[in-house]
Parts: sequence; structure tokens; C-alpha cells
Amino acid sequence: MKRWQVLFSVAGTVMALMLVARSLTPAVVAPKGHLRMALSSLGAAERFLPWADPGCEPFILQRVVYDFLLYSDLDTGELRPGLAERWVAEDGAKAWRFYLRKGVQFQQGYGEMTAEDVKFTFERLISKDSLASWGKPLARDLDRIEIVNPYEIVFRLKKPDVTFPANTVEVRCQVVIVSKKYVESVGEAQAAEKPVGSGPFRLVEHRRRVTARFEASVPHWRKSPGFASMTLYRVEEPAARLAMLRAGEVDVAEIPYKLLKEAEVAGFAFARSKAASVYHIHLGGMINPKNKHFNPNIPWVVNAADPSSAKRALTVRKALNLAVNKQEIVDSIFSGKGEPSIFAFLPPGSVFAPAGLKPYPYDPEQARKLLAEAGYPGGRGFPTVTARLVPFPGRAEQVDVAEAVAGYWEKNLGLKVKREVMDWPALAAKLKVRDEAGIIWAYGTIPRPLGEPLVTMMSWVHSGAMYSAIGEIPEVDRLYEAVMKEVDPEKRKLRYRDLARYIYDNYLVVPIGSVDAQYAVNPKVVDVKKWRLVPGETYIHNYEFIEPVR
Amino acid sequence: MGRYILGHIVQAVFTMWIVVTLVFGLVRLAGSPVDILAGELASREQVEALKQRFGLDKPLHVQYGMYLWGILRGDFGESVITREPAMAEVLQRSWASVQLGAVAMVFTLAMALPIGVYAAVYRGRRLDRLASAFGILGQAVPPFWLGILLIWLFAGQLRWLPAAGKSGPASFVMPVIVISWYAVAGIMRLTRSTMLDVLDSEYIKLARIKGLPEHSVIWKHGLKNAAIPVITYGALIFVGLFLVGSVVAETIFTWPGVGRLIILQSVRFRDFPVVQAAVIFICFLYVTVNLFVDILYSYLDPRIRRA
Repeated sequence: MKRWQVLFSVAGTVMALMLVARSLTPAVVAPKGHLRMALSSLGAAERFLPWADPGCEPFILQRVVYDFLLYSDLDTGELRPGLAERWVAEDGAKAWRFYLRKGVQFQQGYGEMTAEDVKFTFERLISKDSLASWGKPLARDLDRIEIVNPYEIVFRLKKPDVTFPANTVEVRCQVVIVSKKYVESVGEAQAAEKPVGSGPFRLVEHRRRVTARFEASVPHWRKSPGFASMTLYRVEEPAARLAMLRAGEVDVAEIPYKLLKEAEVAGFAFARSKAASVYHIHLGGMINPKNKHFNPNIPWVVNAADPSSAKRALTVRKALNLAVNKQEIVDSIFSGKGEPSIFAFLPPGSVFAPAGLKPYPYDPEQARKLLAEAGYPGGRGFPTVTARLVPFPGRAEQVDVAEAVAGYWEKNLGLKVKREVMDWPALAAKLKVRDEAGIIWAYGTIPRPLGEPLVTMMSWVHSGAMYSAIGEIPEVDRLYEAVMKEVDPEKRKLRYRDLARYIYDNYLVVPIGSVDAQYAVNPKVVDVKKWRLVPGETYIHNYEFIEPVR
Repeated sequence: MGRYILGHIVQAVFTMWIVVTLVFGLVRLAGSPVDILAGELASREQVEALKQRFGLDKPLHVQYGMYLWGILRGDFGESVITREPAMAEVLQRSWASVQLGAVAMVFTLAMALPIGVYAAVYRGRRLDRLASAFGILGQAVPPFWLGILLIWLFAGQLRWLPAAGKSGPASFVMPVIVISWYAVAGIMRLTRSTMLDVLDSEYIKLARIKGLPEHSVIWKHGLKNAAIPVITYGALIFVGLFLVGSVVAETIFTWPGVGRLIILQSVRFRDFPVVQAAVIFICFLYVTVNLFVDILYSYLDPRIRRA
């Protein structure tokens, strides 16, 4: 081979290798453009410290500037590493050891995130003046926090809790990790207004209850934002949000189901979160007979003093289920963006649900027969049912669902259903003391996180829970406790299935549908194909994953 | 005159006390902020601790006493959500509401007075019939529906105006129309009917016989005497615009004012101190404007203060 031939072939090979390398290396793309979003809320207090805000909704702003210990898998909703790279249960889930990621920096030079910051955040979260909703049960259950080294921390609990890691995931939105150094140097008042986090954006301007403007903080250890800056607008009126999108004032808008068709006709694209809410009807009154609100005359309630009542109550509950056309409700109230559901707290296809079960069918004829069999032919003798119409911010459809079910029962079963509008805190106060005999209400559970349904269930599915959605039923308690005790994730799935199967077989609720949440998007600005919302969640948790059209 | 004003001030103070007491009772009937703040997983002890923190564990009469004493000292408490002084939260947002109310009032008077006067002068003619139709429409169309319609048309379809927020003169247009719509119709109808009475009176006939120009008869002699009920109604409407307008229009158009603060945020979270401060603030405005109108009345018509 001649010398020039050798040189030529070497140069060619090098060039070919460079081309291959270039195609295999992910391109580092700088953020560009400004993203504007119209959301129904930016939070309650809109303060940037996790212990200064109640509930989950406030974290709409916090999650933009901070990071969480864990994140959700965008396919399954299972827990994935965040600021914590690994986490392990010890002592039968009485202790949880977290191994923290090295090298994560807080903004503005406030140093590396370490176990000191995690401990500081948790200690403030459980303090007496904390408003965080998880802070209260955590204060009750947490024994102590031990720092092993800057990257390893152990939470020791007073009793086993398999849900502990799931409470630190972003969709649970309870614990963003705050810089101890920053809070101590500027004070909490300033830190709550001008946050310094380790998240993908930094706050530039905040007008409380109006707007918040952010700039990308790049490079970010997890995902550098696609947009260089972002403004979130708080716009409560849905029609105004859609009009802003139409007028080009914003690029993304939160759209309720009733405006969905209009937004579709206008040609917008949609980012959707699968199974964002699971709607069901609670049948009130299945409570402990010793409770003063217990009423044995409610047809779906078992009366321990009457051995025949168990069969009668089951027949009634089945009739109530078969009389409701769930598909029609999903199609009409939720514009078909969902499917009939099987369980109250698990979306269809959940790995925690027994395989092969189908939604209860719509069979009004059979429902009438069952009701007659239970002693209420044509609804005669059936006490008047009270449907509580409870609108929720972001879940206004709860009223429509309860209305629809009341209509089916009146039409198909001949029942008398009285409608009563009530706000959630008023109903919640009644539910806490189990003052619920003979009433029904619709509830749209946000099944977050999909990877650990116990987190949602613990408020609803046990005699000792704050509310009783399933009923105070000893067998449900036993099955629920079996899930709680099981540390092994795979075995826990089996226990979940036992619990779900029991609820399903006994028709303890009226499942309606699992529906999606959607955000209308201007496809000329946002590359909607690259933006995936967290499943089982209505809020946006991953602003950094929103990419501009390039 | 002094006794007349003093009597009205005493009445105003009494009215304020009644309102303050009513607000105290009503917000507590609606439930407790602790139900919301405690969350779903708090223990009973933690709920009790929260009650203690906000003084809700004390007997109602003690809470009432503390509340009244606080108001007298200008202390309306802290927001249970933001921890900021409640009245400061209200005042911070009141400027946007006052701006909107003031522009709406100017717009209302600029529309209602000329139409009302001309409808009376040209009674039974096309302008009068048009004005009557407008009046009926104005009082029948719900402001909420009108707001949505305007957003759909001018922001969504034509893209002439911003759909929401307070961003410049253009952002005033739709909220002002929504909150003025009802008021224009009301003041216009009232102006028309009082002008009709006045135009039939003897002194107007005399003015005409004396050969005064028609515009002077109508605008100087006629409108001045027809103005008393219009001023009363207009003043109350102004506060009404501030009150009702701020609730409806601020909600629809995301206006950063007091109405949105009360309805959407403070009531929802049972933020007692802010709800109380906001209602007391609006009531204070209402009572003050009423007092001012009463004094103005006595100036315009001396028979009133003599009576």
C-alpha cells in the first residue's frame, strides 16, 4: 500500500469514528426562549419554605426551585433516585437509610447539598410552627435523625412505616431539600420569599397570587431546563386561561374537561397525565356500630344484630353499582378522557390490582331485580339518600359525578336522592366523626404516587384513618394492616391485591372512572412530544422537561 | 348642622360594630381553619395544639373580646396562611380594587347620566325606547356570563384585549364593562324617571317661559334638582362596584384585588383574620361613603338637615 493510500485510509477512519461518536453523544442543547403558563393556582401561601405552606398544592412554586430526595418513574410512577441515590429499609422498616448524591450544589454559591441540609429540612418540617401537612404525622412517628456522614442519613421511626420513602417523592410534594446555610444566614422570612434551592430554575420575580418568573439554572445535575426562562400566571377562571392561550399570551394552559373540545377545535396540542384522578362514590355509614352516628337502617350497611342484613346490604351495594353507567359518565363529564375504573384508589392497569377484573357492568334491569330481592322493589321503602355535592378546587367534576349517579339511581332504581351542596372542610369535619349515615359523595382521588398506593389509602382505608371511604370493616382493617407490615415490595404487591379484591367483591364503593389531566399547549412554541407528565398526578412536576420547538 | 353630622357618625359607628360582630360569628359558622391546616393525618393532640396557636381553643366570648380589643388597637391579627398582618394583606390589594372601582364609576356616570337625561327629554321616542331596552338588558344579564362572553370575543376570537390580569389601560376595559353594566342601567333608569318628574315641575316651565336656553333648562336647572336620588344611588353603587365588582370581575379577569383575595383564597382556606379584615375594610368604605352622602344631601337640600 502506498504512503498516500495509508494516510487516506487513516484519515477516513478517523473521520468515520468522529461521525459515529458525534451521533452517539447526546447533544448539549442550551436552553432557549421564554415559556409562559396559565395555571389555576400557584399555591395557598406561595411561600418558598416547605414548612411554611400547608398541603401539596403550594409546592407548585417550590418544586421549580428545589429538588426532592426521590422522583417518580414517568412510565410506572415507581420511586426513582433524586437527591438520594439509594434508600434501604432497616429493622423491619423502623429505620430508613438514605445515601445522598454527591456534588449537588445550591444556587448562588451556598455550597453542596449534604445530610446536614436534609436533617435541617426534616427538623423544621416537624417543628411546632410547621404548617406542612405531613409534618404532623411525621413529628408523631419520627424518633430521631442520625447523620452517618455528609452523604448518608438515617431516619429512625417509632414504628415501622413502609411508606416513608414514598412520602419524599416529588408527587407527594412534602419535602423539598432546603439549604441550611442559606436559611440560617438570611433568616426564614427572607428565605421564604427569596429561595435558594438546588432545582432546575431560580426565582427572579414573584408577585404573590399573580405571577412568578424563573430563569433556568444550568447546568442542572438531573435535567437542565429546555426553556431559558419561564413565567407562571395564576388565572383562576378557566375561560380566561383558554382565551390567553388563544391570544398567544401564554404557551401552556391548564384546561378543564368542559373546555376540552373548544381547545381541541382551536388546534392546540395536549400534554396529558394518565389516570390523574380516580373518581368514585363513597357509601357513607358503614361504620363501627358503637359509634353514635351508626344507623342500622341504612340499606347498604350491615347490622350485626340482624344476621340476614349482610346478604341484604351486599345485594343493595351491588344494585347501586350496576345501576350506574360509568362509561357514559366518563364520556359526558370527562369528554371521554379516561376509562371506567375498578377500584377507588387504584387506576386501571395498576400492578397493585388483581389481574383480570373488569369494571362492574351497567345493567339497570339486573340492578332493579337485586334491589327488589333486597326488599326494596321499585325503590319502595328505601330511605332517602343524601348526595353531598362537594366541589374541590381543580376537581369541580365531583359535583357533576355525584349528580349523575343520583340521576341513575332515581331513574333506574326509583330511589329518592336529596342533593346538598357542601364545601369540603364542612364535609371533612363530619367525616372525621363518622357523621355520614345514609349520605353519598363523589371523590376524585389523585393516586399519587402510583408506586405506593398506601400513601393515598392511609387517609381513607382503615377504621383508624381520618376518613372512612371503604367503611370500618374488620376484614378491610386486617388486609390493610397486612400491606402496612410487608416490607418486601414484591410481597406487598400481593397483599395490595388481596385488599383490592376484597373491596371489589364486596362492592364497598361505587367506582366511576379513572380520568386524565391535560394541559393545552401551543405546538408552535412547545415540543409537546418531548414533554411527559408524571402519571397519576394532576399537577405539573417537571417544568424542566418542557422543551421548546427547535 | 353639627348635631346632624354627629348623629350620623354615631349611627356609622353602631353600624360598624354590628358588622364586626356579624363577621366574627359568620366566619366561625363556616368552620375552622384548623380543619384545613391540620391535614388528614394529624393527631387529635396536634389539632388541639393548632387551635391553641390561633386562639381557637378559648371560649367564644373570650375570642370575641380579644378580637374587638385588637380592632380598637388596629390589630386585625395575622393571616393563618401567609403569617402576614391581615389588614396589610387587604390594603396591599385594595389599590387595584379602588382603581378598578374608580374607573368603573367614571365610566358609569359618563354613560348613564347623558342617556338617562336624553331618554327623559325625548320620552317615548326611539332613543328612549333604546335606553329602556338597554336598561332591562343591563339589569338582566348576569355579570359572570357577560365576563366570559367578553373574554371569548375580545381576547379569544378578536385578540384585541388581554384576557386576564392587570397589565395596562387595555386590561381595564373588560372588567370595567362587566362591573359597570348593571350600574349604568340602574343609574340611567333612575336619572330618566327623576328627570321626568323634574321636567314636569312648575319651575322648569317658568324657566322655559323666561326664555332660558333649553340646554340650560335641562342640564343646569333640571339635572341639579334631579341629582339627589341619583347621588345617593350613585354613591352606594360606587361602593357596590367596589364590593360586588371586585368579587365577580376580579375572579373572572384575575384582577389582583381584594375580592379575589377574599373569595378565592381566604374563604377557601378559612383564613379568618384576612376575611374579617377585608369585610371590615369594605364595610368601613361603605359606611364612610354613606356618611359623606348624607352630609352632601344636607348641603344640596337644606330641608333635610332642618327635618
